[in-house]
Amino acid sequence: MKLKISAIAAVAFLAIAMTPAVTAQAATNPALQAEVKALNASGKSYTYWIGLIFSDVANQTASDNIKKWAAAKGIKVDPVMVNQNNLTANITAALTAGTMPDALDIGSGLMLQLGSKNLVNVQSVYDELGQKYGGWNKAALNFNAETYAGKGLGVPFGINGNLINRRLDILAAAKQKRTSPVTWEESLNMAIATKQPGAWGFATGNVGDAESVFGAQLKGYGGRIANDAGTKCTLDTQATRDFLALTMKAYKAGAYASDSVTSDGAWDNNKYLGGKTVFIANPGSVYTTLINGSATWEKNPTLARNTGFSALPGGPVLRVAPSDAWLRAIPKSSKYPELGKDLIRQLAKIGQAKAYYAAAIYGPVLKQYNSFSFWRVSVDPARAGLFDLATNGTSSTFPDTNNAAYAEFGSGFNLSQMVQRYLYGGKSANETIAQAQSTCQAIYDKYNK
Amino acid sequence: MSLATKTEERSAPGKLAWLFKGDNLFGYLMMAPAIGVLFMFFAYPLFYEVYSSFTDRTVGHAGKFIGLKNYIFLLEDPTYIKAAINTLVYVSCVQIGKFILGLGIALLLQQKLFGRGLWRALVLVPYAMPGFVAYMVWKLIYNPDVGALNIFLNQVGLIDTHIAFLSDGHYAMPAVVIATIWRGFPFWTIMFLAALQAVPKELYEAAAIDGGNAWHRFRHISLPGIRPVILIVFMLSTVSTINSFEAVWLTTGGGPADATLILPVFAYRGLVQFQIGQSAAAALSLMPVILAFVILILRKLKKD
Repeated sequence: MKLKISAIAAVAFLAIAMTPAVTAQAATNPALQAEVKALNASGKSYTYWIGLIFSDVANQTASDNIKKWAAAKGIKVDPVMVNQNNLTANITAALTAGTMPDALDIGSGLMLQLGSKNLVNVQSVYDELGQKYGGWNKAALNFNAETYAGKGLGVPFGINGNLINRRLDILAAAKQKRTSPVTWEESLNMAIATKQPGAWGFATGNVGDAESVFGAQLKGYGGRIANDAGTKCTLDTQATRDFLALTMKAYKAGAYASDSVTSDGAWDNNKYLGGKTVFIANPGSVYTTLINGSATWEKNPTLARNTGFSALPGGPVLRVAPSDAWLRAIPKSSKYPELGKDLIRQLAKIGQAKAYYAAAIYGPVLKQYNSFSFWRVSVDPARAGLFDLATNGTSSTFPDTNNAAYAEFGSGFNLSQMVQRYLYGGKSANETIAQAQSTCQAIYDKYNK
Repeated sequence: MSLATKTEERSAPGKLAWLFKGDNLFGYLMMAPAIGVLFMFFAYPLFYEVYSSFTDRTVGHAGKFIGLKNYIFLLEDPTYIKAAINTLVYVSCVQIGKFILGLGIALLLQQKLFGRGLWRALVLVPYAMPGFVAYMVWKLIYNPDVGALNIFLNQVGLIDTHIAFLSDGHYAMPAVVIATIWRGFPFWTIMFLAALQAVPKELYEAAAIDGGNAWHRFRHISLPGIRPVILIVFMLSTVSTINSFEAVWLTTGGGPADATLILPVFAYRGLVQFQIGQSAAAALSLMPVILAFVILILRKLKKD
């Protein structure tokens, strides 16, 4: 009899010990409990697409955090690493085949494209996290604006944007000032003064790096893609001609690298890490590589010491500091939206976020994250720049309206192509602007039917 | 019951009777898996693409039928026109280059050379190499700063400055064409070599007795002897070159300023801009030309 009671007690203890988290969560959210049961009954795994970034440690941390959450929930999980550059193609295929993940990391442009037709509204989670962690930083608040078409479609988890990295030693040798350049024109003159071909190491090809820098330059000269209403393209202006004149000046002076037009996403990083250029725009991955090394580059503390970081320069009219975000979203096709919301809450926890930000190249989204020590300039100048961007930066499209048409215009690298036609294609400024204006208007018209 | 209905009832089993004759049913059952696979992986995607090209489908939005609007939009798009012209230039130059190089090297390898087996194996290397590796190597060769071609041309004194072959609108297309020819000519060489070996030796001996020189032997024996193979290789290679993506994408991405933009890259760009319907239309726009070309070659083969 004694043995029987002990055996029952042991079995009961084991049962309780093995499912603590499930019962704790289930008690608070019946819908979540039902989803856990349904997922386990299906024998399938919960799928999450992690957007790969230039830090293996950060990618692994994200994956580990998701696995820990799944273990606590008592479910199987499949965190899939997806190259951010291939996300559009992957989503296109997954939507067609009906194999979308249960939740995913997504860029703001693609999120706008998918829209409320394809994504679950997670505004309640956004509001809840804001209250819990002292509010959202300025850059993350842009995604909560009433005028923003993607409001509620995703929860921001990382602010990204470009900082100027410049070679202090080369600039000093060329008798240039040590402080950061204030205007694009000034940075170009500094690059030319070094007499190093390709010193203005910005890409000019069909890549996001080129499109974002050209966008900031165009706006600095007072140019706009479209009007305030986000309906009519406004590229055919004197401001655009002034911006093109800047690019032509750089081209004629040999400040663009001769292979800048065949660049890929890592081209400018490699140029800088290889000591072949003086200025680049980079979100922090170069500094991380200089400090930690990577599969292709060894650590280079000397170059790290000789690198200055600053916000993007401005033009004669405006200085923008475009900040964008990566967000967590839940496709409507997921049978487990409550699990998705729970995962977003879990990944936002201070401990999880700190471990991730320590390795990732993102600025903080929530105010309680601002106290992490690595945002200080003395600890990590690149992350300090990202912190500055997250707390003071302008929206990625400012002063343009952030809508799906703007996202499509950018994803087609239409500014880069406008510049390419002018620099490499022998087209006049008027011709290339007219073509860009026409392409742009066709895109905007499509969304304003 | 009308007479017509009666006739239908009587003839229905008769219509299917052929299926049960002999091994017919068994034969069709054996073919069914292959037909199923063909349908799933060829017919369905093709019809789906054709259908998509008549819709305004974008990523995440099924879209609606819009008739020929995508095709009309393409015809009014200067970038598409440029891509179509580039495709024509690219394919023509590549095919001419592959033919000359492929046939020339096949004729050379047919001769009694020292280490002929080794040469025949070596000629296959570019074709056996993964496309990604091959084109990245060419990208390095063309590099303006450290590329082998610039260094070589400088050292022999042909140029006194560095040329950005892939970034200069004048050189980009020839540079990509050369890389594509290099990667593709071994297929032509091997096919021509096999065909040349099948030409009866007696014909060459007879020509030699009649006083025919090397040119005469090539013109009147070799060339007619391998003509069917030339047509088949020409057809297969042209179709694959028209759809070639990696050569351009990996070297120039279609740039600079669309100088090397060809239709497959144009269609891909449309896809990353979320425009599935337009991309499908762009990808299919050369289909009639390809079909006409294939029919023409097949007719010529039939005549031969």
